[in-house]
Amino acid sequence: MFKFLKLGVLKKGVQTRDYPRERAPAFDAFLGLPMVDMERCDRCAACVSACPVQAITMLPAEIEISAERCIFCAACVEACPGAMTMGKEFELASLSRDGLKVVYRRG
Amino acid sequence: MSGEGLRSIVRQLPSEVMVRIDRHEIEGRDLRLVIRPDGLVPLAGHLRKELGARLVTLHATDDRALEGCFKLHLVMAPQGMDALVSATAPLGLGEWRYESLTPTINDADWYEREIQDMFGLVAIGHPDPRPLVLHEDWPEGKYPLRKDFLTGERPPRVKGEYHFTKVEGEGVYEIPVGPVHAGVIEPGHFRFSVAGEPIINLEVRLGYVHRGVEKLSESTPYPKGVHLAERISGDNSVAHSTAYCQAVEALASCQVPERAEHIRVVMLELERLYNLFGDIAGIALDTALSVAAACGYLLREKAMNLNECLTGSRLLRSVNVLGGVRKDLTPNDREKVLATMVKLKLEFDDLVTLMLSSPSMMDRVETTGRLTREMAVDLNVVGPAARASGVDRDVRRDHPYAAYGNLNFLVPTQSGGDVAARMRVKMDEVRESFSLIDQALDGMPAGPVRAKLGSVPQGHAACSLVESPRGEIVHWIMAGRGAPARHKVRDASFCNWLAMEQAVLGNIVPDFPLINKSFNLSYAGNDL
Repeated sequence: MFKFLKLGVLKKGVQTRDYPRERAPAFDAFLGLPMVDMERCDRCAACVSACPVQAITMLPAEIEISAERCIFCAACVEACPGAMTMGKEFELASLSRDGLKVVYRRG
Repeated sequence: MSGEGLRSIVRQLPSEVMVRIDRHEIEGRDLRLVIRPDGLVPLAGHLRKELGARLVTLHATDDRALEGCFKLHLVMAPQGMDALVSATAPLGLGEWRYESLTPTINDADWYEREIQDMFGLVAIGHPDPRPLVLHEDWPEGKYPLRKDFLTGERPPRVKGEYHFTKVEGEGVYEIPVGPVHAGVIEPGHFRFSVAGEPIINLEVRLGYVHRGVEKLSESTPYPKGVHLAERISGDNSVAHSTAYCQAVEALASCQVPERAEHIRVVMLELERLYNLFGDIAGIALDTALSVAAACGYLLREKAMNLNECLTGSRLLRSVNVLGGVRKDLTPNDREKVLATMVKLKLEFDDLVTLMLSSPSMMDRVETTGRLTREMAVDLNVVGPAARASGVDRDVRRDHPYAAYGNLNFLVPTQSGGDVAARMRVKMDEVRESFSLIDQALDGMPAGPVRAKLGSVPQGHAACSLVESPRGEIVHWIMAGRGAPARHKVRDASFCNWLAMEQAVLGNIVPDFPLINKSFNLSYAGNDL
């Protein structure tokens, strides 16, 4: 009846991390919010047409990425591996809708 | 071999079917027939009776723009053959009725109700013609999948009433449950009719998460459609995206590199693992065996963590692209998978021993929620639920795709059909998944991971079958201009919900959550 005592099921120790006091670094492959390297961007808008959810907007002098719409699919990076990368940031919550927009400017 | 088999199917067709066939051709592993609508019922009856064929999908297309008519498409899979028989039946000009298949093959039931809601085509002689997908607030005469219904159109809500099956008698009362539930699960309404504690009837009412996936897909270009397919049923992303990609690749005659096919197997099995861990933990949780549940969820978490480490997504999103996979597996990834599998195997063995040696748990799951073999066959139940009732079917073995044809695995079955049998099947499948991942990693050839997808010729149709953790899923795509002209999706849950209505009969209400968990069906996948 007490066979289960011999199994490893009761000796698990602490399995969680003291987040957020202890940081949780993202894996290398992690798909976070896309980031634009404005030095390399030639404003060809390939990322805008590749995005399946219209999360990327080309503004006159800048590029706006909406964390509200983004589904973290990496289609933009596929379309433009030169200037786009998937970020490692996962703490994207904001108290306002405007706070969910990330704007990239040159310089 | 299958070509000869298919020719003999044609030869053996009875004359009443033969005279109604306008054209037949064999394309690869498919037999394609163009048949007059009045030939569908005898054809389906013959395939079922003589060849034990099961229904893969039954759906309609709106071809009024080009040919002035609606078409019905019936796809059946003869038993023991890696082949599909697809029949296309163009209805007459302006015709919107056809003879119901349900009295002949019972599993056509929900498909015909779905066609009625989405296309306004009526199956004459259907035993239960109530709406299935559309709810009572949807106006009459609006059929979402017709081409003249525009994407994004929002018809006004109307007042209406839905009639549940009435069960009456002394001491019989109804318990309505949902669509909002206590836990964070999907919405669905369950209407129990009970006499005391035992359930005498259950009616499941779904459709609350209908998002119009099939309609959306018609305006979504193929590369973006992969992302849509991933989101059909959240925890079956790889299965759905693989099915979508395979269908489009078949249309474009694109040969996926072998390495990509092996990576797809690894990802499909990783998906199965974390789903099955969750299912097994859920069964333990609902029998109040908390230690086992905690261990099971810990395993699931570890598996999902591995997913994130490999692909960047816990739910394995963005794994597939048309023509292959997005990201190669590096030698480092391979080591990581193998090391994690060793740990998971040991911990899983302990969990299984704990669960199977716990009398309080086994007492609760044995003989609970029994689904007989006859019922499972009759309703065309798929996946682990079918195998637990002794129906030996698995798409990975019967219609091999990706790299499954080169791998060795068993298809575990049980004969009990109760919660315990479903639990045991899932436990055995976890072990097969471990072995499949090992084999796929071992046999993985070097080379590219994606091929260029050529152009997708218009007008052709392709059907792709994949074994998701819940069972067989089907994606049927008819190519249009740069996007599907019609994309029919059938999730495993669409077949299995009716089985749950049967499995709960005679059980007490407190056992319902346990039975529900042992099937673990998807609401979103069913509703689309």
